[in-house]
Amino acid sequence: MRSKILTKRDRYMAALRCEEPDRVPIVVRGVNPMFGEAGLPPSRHPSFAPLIEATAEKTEWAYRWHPPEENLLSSHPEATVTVTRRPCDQEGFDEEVKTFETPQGPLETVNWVSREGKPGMTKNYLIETLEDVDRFLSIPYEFKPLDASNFFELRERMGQNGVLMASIGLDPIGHVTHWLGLETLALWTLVEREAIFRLLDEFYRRAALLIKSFLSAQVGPVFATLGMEQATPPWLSAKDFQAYVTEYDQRLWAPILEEGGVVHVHCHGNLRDVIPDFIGMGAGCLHPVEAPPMGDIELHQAKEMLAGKVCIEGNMQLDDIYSKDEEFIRESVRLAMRDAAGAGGFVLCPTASPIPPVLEEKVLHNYLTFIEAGLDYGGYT
Amino acid sequence: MGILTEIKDAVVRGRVDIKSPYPPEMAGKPGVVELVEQALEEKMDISMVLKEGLVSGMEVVGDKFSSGEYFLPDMLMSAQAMKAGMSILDPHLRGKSIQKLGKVVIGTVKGDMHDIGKNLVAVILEGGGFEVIDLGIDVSAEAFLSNAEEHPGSVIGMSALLTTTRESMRASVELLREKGLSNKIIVGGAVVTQAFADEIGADAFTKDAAKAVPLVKGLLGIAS
Repeated sequence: MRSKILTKRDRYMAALRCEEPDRVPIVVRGVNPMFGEAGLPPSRHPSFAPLIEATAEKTEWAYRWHPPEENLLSSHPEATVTVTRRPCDQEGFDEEVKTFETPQGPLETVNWVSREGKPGMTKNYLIETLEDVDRFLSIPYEFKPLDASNFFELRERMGQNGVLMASIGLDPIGHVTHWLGLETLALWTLVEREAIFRLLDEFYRRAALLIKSFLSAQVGPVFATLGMEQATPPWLSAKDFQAYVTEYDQRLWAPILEEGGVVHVHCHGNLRDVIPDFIGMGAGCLHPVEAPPMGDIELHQAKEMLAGKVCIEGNMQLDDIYSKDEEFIRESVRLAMRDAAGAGGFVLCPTASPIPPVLEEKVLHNYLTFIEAGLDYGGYT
Repeated sequence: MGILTEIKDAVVRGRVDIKSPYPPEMAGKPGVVELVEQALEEKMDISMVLKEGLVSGMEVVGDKFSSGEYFLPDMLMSAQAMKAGMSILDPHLRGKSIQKLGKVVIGTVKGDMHDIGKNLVAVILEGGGFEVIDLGIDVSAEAFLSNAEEHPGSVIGMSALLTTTRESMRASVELLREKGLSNKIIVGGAVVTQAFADEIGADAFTKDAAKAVPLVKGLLGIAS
């Protein structure tokens, strides 16, 4: 008998633990009524107001709390980073230069940063040579003790509306790719593997400190991470994924799992060949599990592999929310429920956060349709 | 093994030159650089070196990537090997009667800063015998238009990685069509599908870079 109506928090937690709640939880990734709070992303454009309102009322809140230490840079007094901004040729963008002082000479990275909140790009990566690796690793590392008071305040205010996740941020390979760039990473997997492992070892050490401090502060029980999508096929082979991701993340997450926590993973790309790795690593929830052409596995196939082991959060293509009509959205939600909701362990969610700064009327309508269809088709009877 | 086969094999295996540490099992063996130089010393037909060595090698690489045998690192290393070979051939190609197969103007559409896929396509097309004019990233519809006008008969290649920049791709295609330009348009990128390509009126679509050469040849009516 399943007549009891769960709170949003219990509903989402039940799904994350691969149990069957009263209905399929709905999460609108990248949209939340608590935007702008310390530790959460800044607020969105006023055009998002109706969606934020609907999200607040009808969906489960799943937010990632980002501690200042998430980027795993050193807090050592000698580890200074100066940031300067200057206009650049790219219309609507500034050039942001970050200079890291190191005992072996400065390191510099240049990014194009949008003045209108659009996605930017890295023009020059921080690490481009083996000498840069030495310079980066020569920076004295000091972990700043975590102040988690803000987490508890936000969690208290969120109440039973959902789950506040503690964000680990990028995993070790995500950090390495962030500073190295995908092209260099790819080439170094063939000719400079040792340099990659040196960097991975260091970011593993730093991330482990962050997790240890999370657990000491008793934040959780859900921890969010991402970054390994840079190492999924076809970028890297499944064998390389095991070497660069599985080997590190499995050890990294072990203390969380020992404490009964759940690891929520965001990973785009082709997952078919690495799903066994995610299961082995102890992932609690996998988002967004994309079907072709963006991914390589249909939802029902993923469900067969993950049922009872890892919760699936997905997989309404953001692209479809932006480009299709109401009928298509409703049917997609119905099919997602048919293919993945059985026996629980499923959260209905778009594949990504909204990208353009302004929400157009059509897109708003599709988002609202997505929520309503999720409520209509998501009941467990 | 003949020299052309050796060049092709070196491209497939991503062996740039004799000093390269990759692939480790070929340590001390010549790479594309030495082999192309050797071919030139032996007065081999340059077009043969290009087509049966470099281009043929990249075609194999493309097939291996499409089939899942090769991954991005293999593709990039082979592209480096091919570029190294092209840089040696280039001075010899100038003034020769060897004609490029055609011209491709390529760019990532307005609002999109991603260029790995676009760069790969550019390298593969160059290796496939095409002249490539790379407009870079964040390319406006107007820039595609002016380049299409400047290079009549060229194929226009547009790339997009972001959902939101697909509309820029649509706007670019529409502008070219509105102005009555007859240039063929090929689109690609992670968020582009055949259905979207059809919807916006592009002439061709490819999901992976490796397919670019046969697709562009097809658009220009060139036999493979």
